[in-house]
Amino acid sequence: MDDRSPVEVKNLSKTFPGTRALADVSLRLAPGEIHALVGQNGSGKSTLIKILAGYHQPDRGGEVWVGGTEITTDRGAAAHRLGLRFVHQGLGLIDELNAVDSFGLVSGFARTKAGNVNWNAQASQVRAQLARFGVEVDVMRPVGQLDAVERTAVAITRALEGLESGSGALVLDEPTVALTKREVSQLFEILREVQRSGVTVLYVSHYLDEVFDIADRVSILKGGRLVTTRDTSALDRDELVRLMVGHDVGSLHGRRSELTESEDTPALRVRGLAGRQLEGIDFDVARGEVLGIAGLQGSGIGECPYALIGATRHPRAVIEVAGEGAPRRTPTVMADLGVRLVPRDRRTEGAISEFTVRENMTLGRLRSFRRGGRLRPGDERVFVNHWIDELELVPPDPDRAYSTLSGGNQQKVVLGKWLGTDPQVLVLDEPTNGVDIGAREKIYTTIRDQAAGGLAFVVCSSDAAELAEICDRVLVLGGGVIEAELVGDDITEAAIVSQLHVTEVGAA
Amino acid sequence: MNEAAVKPQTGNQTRNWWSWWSFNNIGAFYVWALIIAIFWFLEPDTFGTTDTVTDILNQSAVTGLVALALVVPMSVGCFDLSIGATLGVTSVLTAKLLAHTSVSPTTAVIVALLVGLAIGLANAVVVVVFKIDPFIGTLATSSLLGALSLFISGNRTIASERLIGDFTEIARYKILGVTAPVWYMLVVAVILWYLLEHTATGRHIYAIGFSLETARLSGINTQRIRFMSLVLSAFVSGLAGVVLTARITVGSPTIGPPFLLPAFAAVFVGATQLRGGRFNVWGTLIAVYLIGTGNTGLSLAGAPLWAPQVLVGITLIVAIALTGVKRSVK
Repeated sequence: MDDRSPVEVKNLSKTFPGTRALADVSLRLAPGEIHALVGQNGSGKSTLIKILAGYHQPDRGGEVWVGGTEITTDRGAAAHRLGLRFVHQGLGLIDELNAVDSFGLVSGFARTKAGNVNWNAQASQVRAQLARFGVEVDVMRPVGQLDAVERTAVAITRALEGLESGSGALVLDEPTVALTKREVSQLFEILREVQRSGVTVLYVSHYLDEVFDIADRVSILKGGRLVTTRDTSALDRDELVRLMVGHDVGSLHGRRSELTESEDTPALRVRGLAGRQLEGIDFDVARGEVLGIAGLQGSGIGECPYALIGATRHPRAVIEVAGEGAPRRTPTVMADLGVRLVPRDRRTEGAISEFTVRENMTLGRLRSFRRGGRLRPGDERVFVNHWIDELELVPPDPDRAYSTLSGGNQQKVVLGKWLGTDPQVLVLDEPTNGVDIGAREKIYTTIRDQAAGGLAFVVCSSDAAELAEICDRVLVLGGGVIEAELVGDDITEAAIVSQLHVTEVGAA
Repeated sequence: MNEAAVKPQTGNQTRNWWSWWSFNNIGAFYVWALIIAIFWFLEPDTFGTTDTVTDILNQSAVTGLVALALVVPMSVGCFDLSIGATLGVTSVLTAKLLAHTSVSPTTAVIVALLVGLAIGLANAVVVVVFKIDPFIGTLATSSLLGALSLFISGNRTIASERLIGDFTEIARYKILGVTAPVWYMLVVAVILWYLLEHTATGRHIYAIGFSLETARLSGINTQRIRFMSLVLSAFVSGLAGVVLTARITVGSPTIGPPFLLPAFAAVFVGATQLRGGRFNVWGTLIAVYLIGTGNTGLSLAGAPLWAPQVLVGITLIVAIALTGVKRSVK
């Protein structure tokens, strides 16, 4: 067996303005293995994959080798030519097209002598390709109508098309997010066929149990660094969690201890919150409590914040804000009741890039700056300056264009926008996504201070360390239901990670 | 991560006196001055007279009204392609009422304005209630309105003595040597300017136009404001139709649609002026007069019949390209 690794990276680093996403990572895949790559959100997994795919350029000094050849220029195309293939999370299929079209789009169509597409030849080619990995699907059916696992199989097979047997590598990014348990085992059957055909697989997943099921070895990333690479047979789940979490920092802010069932009406009472993924969850948030909600993609965490502020339709939910019911929920109604959302994407949902800091911060309570129907920019500035001081916004200029601020300061503006409305409940969705460390600390202390003043928080986050640091209580979502509840000293990063990365996908 | 890549732009250009006069802020003003200078040089005997100046002022007033009608819906992010057709309907309707019934001019005007309002409601229902993309929705209603104009007029130009009588005072009455339509335009401009720049609703309008999702999640009633914007544009276009009829003393089904493109050109040029990427009232009016001056100059200089359309087309492309550049935040 030749010792050329199908994929190898040496001293790979990637620096983005403000953050180091990847730091000196060296990793070598062995030919024919299934190699899992795990790590929490922000650990550098996706950056690594994007560098392999040629989407990101690594920092100077990093090397990418594919099939024994170093890749320097035109990375994406060169890697593909040398046999490195990708199936990204969205699969890259077009729902309306069938498998025959999907293959043809990427690798061209079989032609007749006259030059038109030879559909019969094309279809049998595609069927043969799928059969290599034991996949049987209706190649004439639009892929949107196929099962999730069939779609994944089409995407994988298409990615591997044209590889000589016994060579090549496949990068699979979170392939099981949309799959049920049964479908996951079907997918694993296909992956074993892929492995048998000689293809090396780099398998990226959040679900730790899957890692033990399918992978030969596992590499763990944390904070952009490679922690270690281990044989899965010489590792157990707790040990893997420990490697992912590292040293547990715990809470720096002191949790509320007297979190007993208080007789007060809760700030927020939620019963039967359901939606596309959520299957009816119940919880209360007390005044002054910071409730964390953890969950991986597909667990329902994505729609939870929007459902709470009435931005999606949920006929079955019962929501009460400080004892007051909200039968018809829209963002306007919920805003009037004092439930506000800091969305995860501040650029498209949290703020308006074309507005100034002042215009953004006052957008939620503009009417209070009117006198005789006319807006008073002077009053607005007084209000905005207060929150600029409070949140230590840099630069402290209310008339600055929002788009020129750093990510952390942009997030502070969105936070200030809602804190200034005297809300009852503030829902935060990934509050420190793309935020520098200094701003992050400021945001955390602001949350704790405001909670001490009686404001209730719901923090939806995929960052276990963040939840461990600021929350009084953490709910872990999985498959649309609450899987676990952690309170007080039980809230540790390791405990959250351990609960999170359980294979509990769909209802199966 | 990507935040550092954003470019500085928008919002606060008006803060110091020098930057206010910069080409970047009021470039169209300088282009306008240049156009005046060129035609003055080419046609000193005709172009440089007070007659021409008042002519340009008066002639562009209706275009100005139609362009102003667009400012609010465009700020909200709703294209309204039916403004020309709406103008056509109220124009033939006013003419028809005066020519074929005995209603007083006042009644005719009120009926026409109410019909403008009704058209606005219909547009708003199509776009907001039926959730049809405004571009497509108003294109469709514009076809229906074209049909309505033909139906009312019988595809004929409507002329009548009653159209030449008291009724024309609506357009001919002069204050300070300037005809009434210019004053209507200015009144509408001041109202819209106040709405957009000095009220909470105005800020909400811009918020929705820039990011519907942010506005919605901020608790702003986005549907109500979009609804209102389309009612407003049809009402102002309807007013323009009445004023135009009084000015030219006939009603015709063909006079409405040609106002559409110059109006769009003006609002897009307007968006590049003064407010750095935001659709706005005064920028729009500068643009209307830039185009109006160009057209008058061209006709005085004996340019061929197709020249004005070339001017509008080029202005539209340049303006949209510039607006796009100014807004390229993402």
